[in-house]
Amino acid sequence: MSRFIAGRLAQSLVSMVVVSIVVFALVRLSGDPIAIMAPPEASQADIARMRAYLGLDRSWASQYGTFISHALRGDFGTSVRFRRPAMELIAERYGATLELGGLAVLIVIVVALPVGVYAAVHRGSGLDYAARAFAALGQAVPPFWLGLLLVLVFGVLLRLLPTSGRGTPLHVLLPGITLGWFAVAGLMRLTRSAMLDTLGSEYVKLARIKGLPERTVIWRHAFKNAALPVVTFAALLFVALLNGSIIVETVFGWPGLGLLVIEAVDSRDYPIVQAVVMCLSAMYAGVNLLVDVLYAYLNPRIRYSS
Amino acid sequence: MSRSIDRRAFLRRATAAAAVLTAAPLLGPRPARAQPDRLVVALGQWGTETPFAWRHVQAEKPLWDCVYDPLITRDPKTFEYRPGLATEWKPSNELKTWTFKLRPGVRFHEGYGELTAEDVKFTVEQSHKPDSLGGSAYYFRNNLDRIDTPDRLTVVMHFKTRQWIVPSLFTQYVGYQNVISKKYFESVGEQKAAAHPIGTGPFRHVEGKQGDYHRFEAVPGHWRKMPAFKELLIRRIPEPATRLAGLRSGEIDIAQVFGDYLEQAQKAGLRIHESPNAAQYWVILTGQTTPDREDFCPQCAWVGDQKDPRSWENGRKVRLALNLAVNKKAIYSGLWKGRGGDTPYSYYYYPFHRGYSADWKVPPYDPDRAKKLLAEAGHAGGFEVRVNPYVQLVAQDGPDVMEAVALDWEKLGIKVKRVPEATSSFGPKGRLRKTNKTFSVYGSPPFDEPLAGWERVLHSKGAFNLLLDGAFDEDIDAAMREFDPARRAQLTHALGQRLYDGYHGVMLGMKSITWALGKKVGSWSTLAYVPAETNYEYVTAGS
Repeated sequence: MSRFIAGRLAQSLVSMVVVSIVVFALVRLSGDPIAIMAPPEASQADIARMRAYLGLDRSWASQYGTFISHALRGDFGTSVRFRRPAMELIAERYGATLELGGLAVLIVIVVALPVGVYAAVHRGSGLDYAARAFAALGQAVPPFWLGLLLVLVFGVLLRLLPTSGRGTPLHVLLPGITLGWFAVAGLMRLTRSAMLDTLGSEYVKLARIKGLPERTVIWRHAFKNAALPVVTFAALLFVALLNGSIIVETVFGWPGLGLLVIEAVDSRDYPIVQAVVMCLSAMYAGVNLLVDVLYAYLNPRIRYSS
Repeated sequence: MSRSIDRRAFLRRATAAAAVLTAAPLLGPRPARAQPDRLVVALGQWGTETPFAWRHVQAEKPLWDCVYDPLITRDPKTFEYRPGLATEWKPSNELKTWTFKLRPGVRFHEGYGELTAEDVKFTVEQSHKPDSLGGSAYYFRNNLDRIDTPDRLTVVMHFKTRQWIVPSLFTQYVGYQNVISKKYFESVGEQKAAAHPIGTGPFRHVEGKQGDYHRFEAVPGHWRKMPAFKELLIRRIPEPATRLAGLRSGEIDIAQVFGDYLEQAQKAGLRIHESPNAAQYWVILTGQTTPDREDFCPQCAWVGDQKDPRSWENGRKVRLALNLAVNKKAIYSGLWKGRGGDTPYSYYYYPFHRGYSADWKVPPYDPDRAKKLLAEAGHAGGFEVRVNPYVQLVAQDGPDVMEAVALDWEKLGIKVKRVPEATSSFGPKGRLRKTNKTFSVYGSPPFDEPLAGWERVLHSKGAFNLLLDGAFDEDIDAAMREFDPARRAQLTHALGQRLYDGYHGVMLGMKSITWALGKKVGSWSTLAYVPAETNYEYVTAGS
């Protein structure tokens, strides 16, 4: 297992180097931040002076060398637009994103897994049909529409919850539900179908013949084996949820990472885009590694030693 | 078969979980109720969030102007200069020297002392920093020679050449210089001063979070205007539907609304407030530039070859046809909901400007005549044009207006190819005249004189081509050299007439910027012609 983990770590590092080169090149190919920032009246000389001041007039190789050497020390440079360290801006916004994504993850776990398992165990029951209808609806309803609907009902008509912004625990409820809604539907469907596959298998029948309690049959024998695709899907879903949602943050005026990133991309703010992409790729690499290790735990038949 | 998670047990647990989730709002603190002494303003965007003139892109004004005072204010109705932090300002040395006398006894927030000439000098000189690119930094860097401060309340600015435009750079809107405290800035550094700005304005900055909100407190006994509300909270809410929901729920008191949201706001019982005539709209007919530019297109139907009188005249006929084809009244009623109209000019010439002529009219809607003109110009079957429906700072409804225009053009047989491209990448192309002859809708605020705008967007050496390039270079240069205001007004009028007759753009009219007001707001005295309204200190409390 340790060899497997070391191998996967090496693969992750190579992936991150490739990501750093790709994001470095792509943001520069997409446009010049100084040309975007400059007021209409700025002359080409003004623009050139600013570009030189920020070191953007140097060769790409030289800029990449500086970027990667600083990045290894956790310094992703200063935002071209906001003139503040990129990591500082990201850290400020990440608290809000974590709060929102955390609630969404909680909702997904609390709702999707039990309902998915229950719908599979009670296939054909009223609740199964209701769960399937909810899943179909959940995946069909666009988040911006759902978000605005929730705002209208709970914020404007009932006046129970704030319509936007961040502050009290109440502020996170509507955006959290909106963000989690789609994920709940997807994970619930996946859990249900994976459970249906395993519930009909021979080892589950054997477990029942042996007289094991139904709880043990379902959770220890059936769910554990059904969990493989669920874990893969859930892990990537959680990373996505924890990394900000442009649509939900825009609808609710939620000051998270998603809004910062979209603005950074729009204004070609290289340092922020690079820092966010590198952090995200590190998270995805870490989660993928974790999922691989979980596979081995959940299903001992999987052997990584080779 | 016994089942550990039987239906009833599951339903019991699910009901309990749902009850917890549903009850959570009732257990936690209630949503912040509208506080009578707090004014909440929601903005869609606030640019780079910097409070410094030498960095900003104008979009920051609605956030930070409440912390500062301008050296020169504007009359709310006529747009004329009025004393602000400066009680008087006058030129000498043939307009190369401008002397400002400051108002005594104006104090910076949080005990940073009295405003002095050194603060003004320090603020303006930040424009010389190599990374200063915003506001009017370019202007001061290129034209300012030095600044003297002969006494505590006198600022003398020496320019390299004669400058008649100087006062406008110290008024509200274009180029506004937020005077900062030198003592504070030097003691905490730029980054901290940006996060917590200190000014002399009617509101003191208390705290804020980047990209989220900023909170301000009214300054008691402020020299210019004591705000009616003790606290001001400015929040950033990008989605207009959410801003409207906040207004309806009472969380927000003032928010910009436009288009369909205007009707929704009115149906919800909210009042609409206008900043009248804040933006002139026109369609830029790209291609009318100089031969050294990539966009140069003498063969384009709407341009023509300047060296060939017939071709040039045919180009003018096509441009007039493009004007006549557009149903402007449908835009005013359908998109602007009556908050704008056919003010008869579109290229920076406003009715309050000297030399303005009431004879100039927006070309009427006349598709039949437009078809005839196209046929006369040899384009009876139409031609293809590219349009970019993009959102521009002053024309937030640019995509809708562009589409309305495109649909009218298509009725003439013109093939309109829509090529959406974001402001961030399309804007720099406009500067370089590399738009691939793509048209777009432009919304412009006023300059003190139209010449100041034309120098930037009509002159072949100007920063942008928002109308045409090169054809009127000599006229613009001559008018800019003229320092007698009356004579300059004559030259401006003559140039304006030629521009009008050339139909170089598609004139659409003038639009008001609209806001919805909550119940807490009584009235709001805003500035005419200013799109980025900022004077929250003039908001009165409602009954």
